[in-house]
Amino acid sequence: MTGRASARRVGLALAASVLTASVAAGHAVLQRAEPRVESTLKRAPDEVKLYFTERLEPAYSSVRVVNDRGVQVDRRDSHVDRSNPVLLRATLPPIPAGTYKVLWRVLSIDADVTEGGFIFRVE
Amino acid sequence: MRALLLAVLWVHLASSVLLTGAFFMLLLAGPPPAPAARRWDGAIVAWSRLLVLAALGSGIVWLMVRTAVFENRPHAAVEVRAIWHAVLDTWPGLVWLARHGLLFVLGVFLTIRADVAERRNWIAARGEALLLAALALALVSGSSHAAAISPGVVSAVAIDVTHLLGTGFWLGALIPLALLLHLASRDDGADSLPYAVRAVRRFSRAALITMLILVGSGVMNAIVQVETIAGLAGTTHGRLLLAKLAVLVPILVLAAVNRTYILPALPGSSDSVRSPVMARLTTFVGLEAGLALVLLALAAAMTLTTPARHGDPVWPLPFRFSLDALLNLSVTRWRALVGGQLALVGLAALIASQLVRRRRAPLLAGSLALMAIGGGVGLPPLVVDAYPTTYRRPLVTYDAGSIAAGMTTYQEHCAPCHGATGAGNATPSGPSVDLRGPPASRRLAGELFWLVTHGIPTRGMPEFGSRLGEMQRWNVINFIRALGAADSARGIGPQVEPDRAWLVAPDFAIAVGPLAPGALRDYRGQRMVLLVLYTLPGSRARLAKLARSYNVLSIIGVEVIAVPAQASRETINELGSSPPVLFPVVTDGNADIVATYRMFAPGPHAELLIDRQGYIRAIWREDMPQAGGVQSQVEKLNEEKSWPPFPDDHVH
Repeated sequence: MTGRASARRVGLALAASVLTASVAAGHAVLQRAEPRVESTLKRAPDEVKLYFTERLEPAYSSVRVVNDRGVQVDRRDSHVDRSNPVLLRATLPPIPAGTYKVLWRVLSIDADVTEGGFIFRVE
Repeated sequence: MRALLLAVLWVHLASSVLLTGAFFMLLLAGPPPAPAARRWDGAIVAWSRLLVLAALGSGIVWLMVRTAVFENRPHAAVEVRAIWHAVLDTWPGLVWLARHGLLFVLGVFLTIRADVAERRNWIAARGEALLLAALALALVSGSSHAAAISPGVVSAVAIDVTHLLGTGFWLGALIPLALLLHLASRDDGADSLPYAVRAVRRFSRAALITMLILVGSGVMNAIVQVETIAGLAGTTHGRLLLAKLAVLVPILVLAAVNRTYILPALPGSSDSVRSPVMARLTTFVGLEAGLALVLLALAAAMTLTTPARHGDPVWPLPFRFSLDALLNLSVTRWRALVGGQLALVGLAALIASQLVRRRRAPLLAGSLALMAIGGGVGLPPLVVDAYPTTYRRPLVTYDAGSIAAGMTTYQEHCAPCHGATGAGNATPSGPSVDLRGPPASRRLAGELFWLVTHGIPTRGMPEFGSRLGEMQRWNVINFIRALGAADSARGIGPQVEPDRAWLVAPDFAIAVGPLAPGALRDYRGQRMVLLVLYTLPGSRARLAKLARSYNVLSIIGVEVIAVPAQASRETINELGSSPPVLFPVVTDGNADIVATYRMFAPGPHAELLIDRQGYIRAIWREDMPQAGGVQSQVEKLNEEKSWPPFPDDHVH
């Protein structure tokens, strides 16, 4: 029974993975970002702020900042701003000069998930 | 596999619509008096139980898929804890719970074998079922595209709810009606013929009102979600809407034929003799119902796509209409005016042809001919070239960093032909276009993007798609936009022109020493900004005066932001401590701000007054403001009664 149940779970999971593979058509669009998309900064920012076109669902909206080796450098405290539900933010410790990638994945209240990324450089 | 997801959504939406329509149709027809009609009533209730099961089942599958998407883990679709998290910790999850709770209650209610022999019991039972079904359908709006609109969510959801209920009452009732008509057309259902005739007449009256509400709310929905013709023609969402309209047209034609020709030919409600007209009506209503299911599939597909207002349209035509084409030539202006008048007269005649009873055909033909001639005369002057990217949204915002970066790229790649100032140079293939004025300054940003990317081979302009990255091209376009704006800004002086806000102040970061940087746009809706571009020692006296009057300026709603032409570690110290400078002095990113704003106000010292909406309203170029000069202009701004909307972050 356990094996059959397990097989059923795997089957369902496979079906779900096929189903979810193409559901990226989304709704909340990145309107602007601080630091700006593709910007070059003389001083490292202490926070990343992303403004979206729609209100976000805090439970499934997050942003992370990775360096050029793919290592996450933010403080892992990304959250939707309580007073401004279109703003997603995460704080940064002092980071050295280099190229950083901001990766975001958000859920808007119409149940659409969108994801994207951009880079900024610190001189 | 997207088709499978669409199928689940379609089943769910169609079940919800059909449930609402079924009970609406039952109530419209009234308690069934004859055995055959009672069989129909029973069959609709039995089918409704299956519809509830279909709606619940498809809803559960939808939730599982959505959970996997939310979690970004396929396995989450079968994890109870993950599903529970998605339901309880998100707004769409709570809406799902409320809707499926209502559907569950409806299912339980329908399985109770209540005695509905009495008229009032029958009405109460069917009425309660309709209420539950309609509530479950209306709640779809709670987590729809309309619910994500901000601001204006209440009106957007109200319009969407109206549209959904209109769909349920009209399109959802078509299948039960077709079943009743089919029954009444058969030998074993002949006793239900008067009942069916009465029902279809009532439906026809109700459907006319519902259809008007449906079309009205659909148009308003489209205005909110699609916004532009480009969104309609150039995005998947918009094209699905066009497909919906294409399916709606034959439905409306069938409904009109039924109402105009078939309903009047039906036997009287007391007549029990079958008529061939009844069979034709059954077929037509059945066709309407089939098309309605296609319509619902398209509606379901629309919910899976990004609303057109957020999409990047791909313009399908090689031309577009633009009133800008009329700015230069008076001949084309007159031609467009005459054509427009002819078309308007034709439109008036078309409306008149629908109101008069005599000579309708010649009037109709004449009106159509006038409209065609008017279009033929008036439209060609409005035609301008268009490209697939014409309505594309720029990747980068219109800010000082982008404009300054674009300026650098421009000087390297574009200035040899277009000149350092954009005024144009002589080239081997003739003089190049002056980028500062029309038509270049009036081109849409997406058009400039296409021309920069692909070049204009016929005029000798090379392509830059292979030489410049996409960001660089958008930066150049922001710079070209700023060139045009700066040229027009020459008319802006130290006097504010009331209610004439048009020159957008490019955004920039305000970095002051070690403090967290802000942005110019943070002041929008809050305070006016006096932007001071200064050079020492020439500006020292003026800065001292500003430092002394800073309190007064703050009280009347002005923030002063000083930007030195060159920043150093000593930027703030260089200003001295007496009088103390309490306003922000930008210490980082100065070069971009100065390069951008000196396009509007060249010189070692300049001041720009930016209103609360983010528009430049007064510029002091060479001469520094006299005593009280800034205050008097600020008072003019404070007296303005109506404010324009905040400028878009992207140029268009």
